[in-house]
This record gives sequence, C-alpha cells and structure tokens, in this order.
Amino acid sequence: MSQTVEKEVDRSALHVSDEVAIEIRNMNKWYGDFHVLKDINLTVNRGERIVICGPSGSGKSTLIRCINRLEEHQKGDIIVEGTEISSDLKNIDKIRSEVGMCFQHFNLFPHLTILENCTLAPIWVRKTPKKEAEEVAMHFLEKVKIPEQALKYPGQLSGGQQQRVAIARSLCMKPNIMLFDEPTSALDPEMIAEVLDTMIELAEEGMTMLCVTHEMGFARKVANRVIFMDAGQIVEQNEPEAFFNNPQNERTQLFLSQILGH
Amino acid sequence: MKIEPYVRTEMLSEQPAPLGQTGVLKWMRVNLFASVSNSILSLVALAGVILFAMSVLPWAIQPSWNATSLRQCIDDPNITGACWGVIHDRFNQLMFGFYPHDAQWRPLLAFVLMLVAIAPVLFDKLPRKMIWFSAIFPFIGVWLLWGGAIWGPLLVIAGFGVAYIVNKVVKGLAGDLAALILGVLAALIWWLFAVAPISTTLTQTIAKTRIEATIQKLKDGDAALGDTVSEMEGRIAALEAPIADMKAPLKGLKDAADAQRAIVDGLRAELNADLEKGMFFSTHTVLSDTEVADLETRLGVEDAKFYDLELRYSDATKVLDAQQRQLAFARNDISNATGLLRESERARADMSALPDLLSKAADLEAQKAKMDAALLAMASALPDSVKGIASLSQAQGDISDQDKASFNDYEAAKKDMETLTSAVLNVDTRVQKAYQLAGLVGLEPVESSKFGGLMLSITIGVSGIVLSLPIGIMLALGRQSDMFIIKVLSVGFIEFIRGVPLITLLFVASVLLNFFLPPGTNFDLILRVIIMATIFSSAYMAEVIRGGLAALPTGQYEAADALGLDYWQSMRLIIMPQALKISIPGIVGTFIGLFKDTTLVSIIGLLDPVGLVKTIQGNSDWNGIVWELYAFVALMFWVFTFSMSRYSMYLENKLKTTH
Repeated sequence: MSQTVEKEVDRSALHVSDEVAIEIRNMNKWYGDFHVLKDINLTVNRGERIVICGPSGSGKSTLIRCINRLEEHQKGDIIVEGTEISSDLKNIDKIRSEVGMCFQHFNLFPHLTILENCTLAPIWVRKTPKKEAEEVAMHFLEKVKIPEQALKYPGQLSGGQQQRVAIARSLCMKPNIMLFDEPTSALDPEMIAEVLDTMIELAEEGMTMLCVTHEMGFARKVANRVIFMDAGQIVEQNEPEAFFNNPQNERTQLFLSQILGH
Repeated sequence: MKIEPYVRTEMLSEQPAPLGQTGVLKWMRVNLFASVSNSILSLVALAGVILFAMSVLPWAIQPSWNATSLRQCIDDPNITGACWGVIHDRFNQLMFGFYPHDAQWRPLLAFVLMLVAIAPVLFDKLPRKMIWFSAIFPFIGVWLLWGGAIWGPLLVIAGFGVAYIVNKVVKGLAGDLAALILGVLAALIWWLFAVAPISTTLTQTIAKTRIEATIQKLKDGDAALGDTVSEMEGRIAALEAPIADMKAPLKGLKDAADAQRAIVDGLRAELNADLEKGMFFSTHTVLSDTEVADLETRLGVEDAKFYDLELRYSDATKVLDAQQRQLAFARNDISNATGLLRESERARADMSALPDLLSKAADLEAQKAKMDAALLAMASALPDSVKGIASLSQAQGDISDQDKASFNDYEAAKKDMETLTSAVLNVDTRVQKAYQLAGLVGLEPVESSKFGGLMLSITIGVSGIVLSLPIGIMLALGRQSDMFIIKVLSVGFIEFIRGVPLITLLFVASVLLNFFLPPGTNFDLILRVIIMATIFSSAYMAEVIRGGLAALPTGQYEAADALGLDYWQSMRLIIMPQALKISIPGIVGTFIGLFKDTTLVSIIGLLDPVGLVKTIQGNSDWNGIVWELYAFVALMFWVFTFSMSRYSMYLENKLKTTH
C-alpha cells in the first residue's frame, strides 16, 4: 500500500520539540457498560507525527475524538496545550478552536461554498474580519492546490478535493494540533495520494499530527511514532522502522501480517 | 480469428433526428401514449376532464355580474346558472368584513407593505437593507389595522433599543450571559410596566394641551364676541338718541296738522252753513258771491297747507318706524350674542372640568384602596364565630346577637365596596376613553369585532405563519436537547397540542380563557385566536423540522463542534439552514394548512370569509345562494395557497447545491 505516497520526505527536516502538546493520563471511557478505552497513557510532544493503527473497534477513533471532546471520557485526565478537558464549555471551545480535525467522510457543510466553509469558523469563532478570513482561506486553498474551486459547493467536488478542502478548513483556524480520523478510507486509490501529499506537507511544516490511518506507507515515511491499539488499549508503540520490521506483540504481528500480506 | 485493421478516413456529419423523436410528437408519445394501458388511461382521464368542464363551465359562465339580488337572477331569462352578482354586491364585505369604509385604505396599505416586508425574506437577490423594514413591519401592520396612538408601536420598538443598551452596558461590566439575560429582562420590564404608562401620560399630556388650546380659542372668541356686544350697545344708544329727538318735532307736526285741520273744518262749516240756508236751490243766500269765492279760495289754501303738514307727519313717522325697527334688530343681535357667550362659557367650564375628572378618578381609586384596607381590617376583626363564612346560615353553633350584627355590618360594607368598585371602574374607563380620543395622535382605533373577510384570514394566517416558524424551531431543538426538563416540556407541549383538535383550542381562546384571566382584562379575541393558531401550527412545525434535523448526518454536528462553534452558532449557521431546507415541503404544507384552518374561526363567531357566507345568506336579497359564495371563497384561498406552494418549489430548486 505504500505506493500511494509518491512524495519523497526529507526526514531530517522533521523536528520534534521537547514541549508537551497533549498529555493523556490513565484515561478510561465507557459506552454505556462497554469499556472502550482502558487506561490510556500517552504524551505527545510538539511536532510529533503519530500514526495510530489497529483493527476496527479497537478504539483508535474514539481516542482521538476524546482529544477534542467529541467524545466524553469518564476517568483520567486529558491536557491539551496546558488546558485540561473537563465539562467546562469554555475550555472545550478553546481547545476545539486550537485542535483541527479531519473526518473520514470530510463533513464539509454542503449548503456553503468552499470559501464559506473555510471562512465560517474564523469569522464566527475567531471574530476575524470577513475580508481577512477570505484571504487566509484562499492562502490555504492554494496550499491544498484547489483555489479555483473556491466558489463551488462541496457536492460539486471529488472526494479527494473535498478532503483537501476539509484540511484547508481546519488549517484556517491556525491550529497547533491536527487530528486525522481515517482521512483516506473513503477515497478512491488515485485520490488518496493527493490527500496524503497534503498531509506530508503539513508534517514538513512542523504540525503536531495524530493520524488514525491504515496507510502504512505514510506511517513509514512521515510518522515518528506508530501506535498499535487493540481492545481499547495501547498494545505497542515504537518508531516506524522498528515497528514494521520487528513487531514485539503477537497481536501486532498478526495485524501487520494481515495488512501487509498482499 | 483474423482481425481486419480499420482506420477511419472521414468523419460523419450530424444527421437530423428521425420523425417522432423530437417536438410535440415525441412528447405525446412519451407522456401520453407510451403503452396501450397508458393510452387508455390518458384517454379516460381526458374524457373525465372534458366532461367536468362541460358540466361546470355552462353553469359558471353567466351574464349575472350586475344582479343585485338572487330574485333578479331567477327572473332574468338570460341567466340560467351561477348568480355572480352576489360577489359583485358583497365584494367589499368579503374582503374587509365590517371594517369602516373610510378606513379601508389601512388594511390595503398594510397588505402592500406586508408584501414589501416579506419580499427580502423570500428573495435573497433583493437588497439586504430591506430586512430592516421587514423587522419593523409587524408594528406598522398592527398599528395600521387596529389604529390607536402612534406611541404604542414606537414604544414597543423602543423596547428593543432598551434591551440593546442594557446588554451593551452590562457586557462591559459582567459576562455575555448576564448581559443577555439582563437585556431580555429589561425589555420585558419595559414592555410590561413602562409602555402603557408612558403612552397614557403622553396621550393625557397632549389631551390636556389640546383642551387648553381649545379653551383659549373659545376665550379669544368670547372676547371678540364681547367687543361686538359692546359695539352693538353703542350702536343702539346711537339709534335711541335720534329716535327720542324725533319724538318732539313729530308731536309739533301733529299739533300743527291738527290745528290746521280745525281751521279747514271751520271754513268748511261756514260755507256749508250758508248753503243750508238756501236749501231748495242750493245757492248761497246770506253771503255774496264774492264772499263765497273768497272763502273758497281761503279753504283751498288752508286745505293745501293741511295736506302738506299731514304728508310731512307721515314721512316723519315712517322714518321713526324704520329707526325703531333697526333698534329692535340691534337688540335681537345683542341678545343672540350674549346667548352665545353664555354657551361658550358653559363649554369652557365643561372642558376645564375634564382634568379635574381625571384627578377625581384618581381620588376615587385612592378612596377605593382605603376602603379595601378597611374592609380587610373588618374581615380580620370579625368574631371567630362568624369568620370565613358566606352567610349566617353556614355558621356553626350559637352566635350572639352582637356577632350577628357585626357580621351583617361586614356584609353591608362588602356590598358597598362592590358598588364602589364598579363605579370606579366605570368612571375610570370613561374618563380614560375621553382622554384617549382627545389626545389621539395616530389613527382612529378600529375594534377587532369589525374585522372580517379575507383581511381577517390574512391577519390570522400570516401572524400564525410568521410566529410559528421560530417557535417550531425552538420546540424542535428543545425536543432534541440534552437538558431533561426542556426536553420533557417540549415533548409534552408538542404531543399535547398535536393531540387536540384546533377547534377546541379556538373555543378555549374564545370562551375559557376569560375564566382564567383577571376580571376586567380586555384581551383581544383576534389576538387570542392568533396565539392559539400559532401554538397549534408550531407543534406541527416542530415535528416537521425535527424530521429535517434527524435527516442530517451526525458528521455535520461533529464538524461544527470540531471547529469550535458554540451550540447556537452551529445551530444557526450549520444545522438549521440544512434542516430547514430538507423540511421545506413539510413547512410549507403546515403553512398552507394553517392558512386554510383560519376558516375555523367562523365557528367561534368571527366573520372570516366562510363566516360571512352565512351572514350574506341571511340577507333577504341573497337568501338561498350557496355555490357562488363558496366557490369564490375557495378561489381566494387557492390563490394564496398555490402561490405558497409555487414559492416552495422555487426555493427547493434554488437551494440545490449539487448539480
């Protein structure tokens, strides 16, 4: 699957700082009686690019959705950029405006144009003047290489274009951290590459990224850490080379053999 | 197998489509006669339509537009079907009910302004600034329809200004939420406790100044009148003096004439006496002929003198009479003028008493309050044996005569109090009314009972539509809310209202509501009906919009949340625009239903078009007419509902964002 990442990555340009961006301590979450996340401990430094993988139902999406409180955790602490996530609505809105997120199904707003999708949050949350917000939006749309689509509606774009718009929309809020929840799972093969390229560019600019994906090529090239989850727990984490070449846990081995086997 | 290589050397040009593949033929083939069963169905349906038209059109097309009664239509051999004269005759009534004729420009203007107000809401190509007019139109509309002082709508609008200012001030001092709550609170306090007193004060001040101005004007008029009177008195004096002067010469003339007559009579007697002596021959016997001639000459001269005097006397009398007549006229004028003066003084006194009346009403009110307190004291001072009972027969055990007496005293005082209360209320309302009329700046008030016809339907329908959409949205959001109490209240409200027929709500509005309101409150019937119709359709609206909300993928909520939008922002900017778009057919359906349901108000005695049909049928000219009226009413409603449905189609088309 690694063939979809076409861009060459200069790993020496990727720095990880000592500052902590996200800290998760003994975090537990239940859906009703079902224990989804068990005792998660994870510290993410600025500039880290973490790929989270694992079989479906292992809780990887739930984990990153807890980081911007799309899901509520019941036990433990999550501290994002020094702010602890609690039920305090003000904190939640503050964190959400600083943590960007891309979804598997893009979730663009179909009733707004691409440009309006990108300027909406800056105008209403950051109170940026409309003109300035539009300039910023055009800048990021150029960066994801679709400035010419700015006045179209999401329904008129291809999947890959929509996902790139979704990334641009998140970037318009100038986030410090980006969360990707299976950003390429709903895309045709030839569109995966354009989205991954955009993500690589982001990584090269030093963005802190947490990415739930099965794109192992991306993980190998870009990630500085790969986390394997199963049954709501972090089973193994390591540097990509070691992770792929020498998995320790039995479940990891099984998973990797299935995903890379053909 | 051997593959034959082939290379095209020239491109084919376009050929016209074969016959029957384009134009009318194609259309008919596809849409009418696609298969045998389709063809049969088309023909049967066509025959049905033609049959219907053939039976209805001859009835409907009649030269009966100018008939003034049903009898005329029946007697006219040219008219064999519909008698449309009833529409012509009662058109005004069907449109306005019993709204005063000279004020009908007001509902008309309100209707035109309503179209202007909804235009920017319906069509986003129009300048956005027009929305401001849409925002203030409700106040203009209500004022135009019901009339009354201009202060009412202005002060209500000012309430929003109050909310804004309070919000701005508090925002600087405390948080956003506190500012919002205090702003809303300030507006509510303004509307409930400030608008009415300010409006009354303004009206009364204007009434007072107007009354004072009128009194001043009357006073000025009186002064002028007084001047006239004194001037007339001078004229009379001027007339009286010559009359008195004339009297003495007249007497002299009269005496002279009398003396002259004596002389003439003496001469005549002398002559006659001489003639009598020669009786038989009629000749003078004693006097000589010369003497006779001399006497006759003298008689002639004296006689002429006498006539001259007589003439002068009668002339002088005529002059005197004329003078005296003038004097009499002048005296009459003066008495008229003094009458006027007296009347105007009375009017002035009446008017000056009006402000006193107002203070008297206030005095009465104060007195009533005092008596209320006294009554309360009496009630608490009653002996225990007679406390808290309605009549002596209810009392338990033996009661001393003293207790009975005090109970009777108390009852009597209570009765007095009731009389006083009703008197105070009466005086108060009458004085207030007089003031309202005297100090009215604005339009003549029109009572709700005068409303009727299509105007009433539009008033209730449009108010219901405009109000039920936001309330329905709030209810739908409430039903989806995470907050338990809000959710339960919304669900309870929706399920209760949807489970009750509209007509029962209307009966509650017209009859039952009066029981629950404090006595003396005058809660307009049309307003009550509008509230009930709004409540009813907002419950349906809530369910329609909930359907739209449910159709939205959760990803939309998540994306809005992930971008940091708060609840209201995400609802307003992301969720509602999409949910409403999905719900357009349902929303418009509810609107249409509400508009048609306004005809139900005829059952509680309001004169909407259907109610008017009964009224018109009750008239002897149109007794027995049915179809024409109902057909016309149906047509009126259809015009509106069809426009709504066309607009909804236009809107759905316009909001399509995938091509």
